[in-house]
Amino acid sequence: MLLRAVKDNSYGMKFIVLLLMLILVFLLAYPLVSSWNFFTDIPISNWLSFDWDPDNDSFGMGIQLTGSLLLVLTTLPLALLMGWIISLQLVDNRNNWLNPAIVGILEVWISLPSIIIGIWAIIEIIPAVRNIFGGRGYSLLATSIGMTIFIMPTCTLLFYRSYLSHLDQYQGLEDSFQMSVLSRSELFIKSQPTAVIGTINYIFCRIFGETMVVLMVSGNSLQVPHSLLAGFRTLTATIAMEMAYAADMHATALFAMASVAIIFILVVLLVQYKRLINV
Amino acid sequence: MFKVIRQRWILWLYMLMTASIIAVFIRPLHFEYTTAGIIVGTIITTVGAVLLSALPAYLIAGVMAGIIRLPNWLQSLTSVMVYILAGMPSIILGVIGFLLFSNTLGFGWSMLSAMLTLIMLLYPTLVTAFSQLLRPFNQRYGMTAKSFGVGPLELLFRLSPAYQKGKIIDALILGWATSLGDTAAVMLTCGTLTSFPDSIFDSIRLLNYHIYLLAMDIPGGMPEARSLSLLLIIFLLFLFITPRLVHHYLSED
Repeated sequence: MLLRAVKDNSYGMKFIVLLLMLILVFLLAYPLVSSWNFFTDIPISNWLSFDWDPDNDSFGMGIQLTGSLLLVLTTLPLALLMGWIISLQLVDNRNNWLNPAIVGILEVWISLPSIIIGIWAIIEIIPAVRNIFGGRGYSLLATSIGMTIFIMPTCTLLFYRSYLSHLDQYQGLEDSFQMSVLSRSELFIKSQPTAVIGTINYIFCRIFGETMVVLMVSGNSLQVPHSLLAGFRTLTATIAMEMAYAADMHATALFAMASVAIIFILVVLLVQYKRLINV
Repeated sequence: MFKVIRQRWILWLYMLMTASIIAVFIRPLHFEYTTAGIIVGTIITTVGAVLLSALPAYLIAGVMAGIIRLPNWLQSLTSVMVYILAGMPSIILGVIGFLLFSNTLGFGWSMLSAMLTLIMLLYPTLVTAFSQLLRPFNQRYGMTAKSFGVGPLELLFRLSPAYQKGKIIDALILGWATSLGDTAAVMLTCGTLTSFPDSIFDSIRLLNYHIYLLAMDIPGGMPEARSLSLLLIIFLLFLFITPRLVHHYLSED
């Protein structure tokens, strides 16, 4: 048995994969376990309200969740649109000398620290927004511009790679594609639905979870933004900002916030589970 | 000339935007708060994290590329697992690291807990990069290797490095750049001490968090944050361009 396991090594691999799986489940469940007190002690009407004042025992996450979702709503369409346009141009010019240069620049952009984008936004975007539209400058608009520039390269490269594999699959059929009623985008979505949905989910999670740019540019004012020029606060920025001085129930509330974010992201990622595993 | 610009005007616009963003950072360099401890600690932590996460990531990439055959449900479970971890925000990983490594396991604010947190962050990136280079390798040499009696592990750890050293180093460098780029995961785990680290249990301040503190918290730190960012951008450009130049000499394929 042992000899067979060593020789075959598929038992060992199964064991390793299952072990990694268990570690992942344990890691993701750990904030929930640590904040179990919070969910049992604090009534649900308290932590779903729009009132965040940990010193006086009100732990409403409504403001932060709304801020995160508003940021996603303003950034996601912009990033997807711009990424799609740039990737189409990249595909059209894939034999040009400019293409490898741009792909290299995009790869550098992807792994560039987000704080650099944040510093750039503080130096350039915030004064521009303040001068053109008025207000303080630290606003939803400025954050969504900065986030679009930060997230667009990821989006572009994902679309570019999946479009190239789409072209590989249907090589030589470009002319018949041109006769089709459907546009290029519709054809692409019909041929690679998994890639498109996966990209959108991934970008959603990146925007939802991005901390540093939001922390630097959003203004962190504790309110639901009434316009594009108002400051706001997101879930992740709250965790990053208040973890330094939180104690007792406040800290537990922050862990609870992290577990709410984990559950939210798991729902977003796994809502298309059937489609994902039937690749 | 105009026709060329009209055909690829968005690409030119993108290049112009990149150049304009980098141009913001080009000012006289200014250093006051940066110490050697920050730089040495950053290099040790990030390189250690990349090297520690490379082995499991390489194995799992072998599963995802189809070199190691597993039952179907395990295969799909593996890819879903990587997909979930890739979508996790870095601050959540930071909270997990803070709770588990700093508090429960008692490593405190140290290089070790930062390293362990960075492993979680790097694992999906490295798996994706490795599986992208292993999949064509398997398509090309997998069947031949099988007919010569070469097992999957030998194919993974002997033949693939021999044939595509350059690409593997590329993936590792991508991982290093990712770990240099992410701040939120380490800001809760590694502390803010700027002195030279004596052991792996010492607190350090990572370079990206140092830039954040300079820009936001330390009064008058913005010029230094700007010059450090410029150096980081140049370093990352160097990191991404050099392997492409040496690629030719390292890969036999």
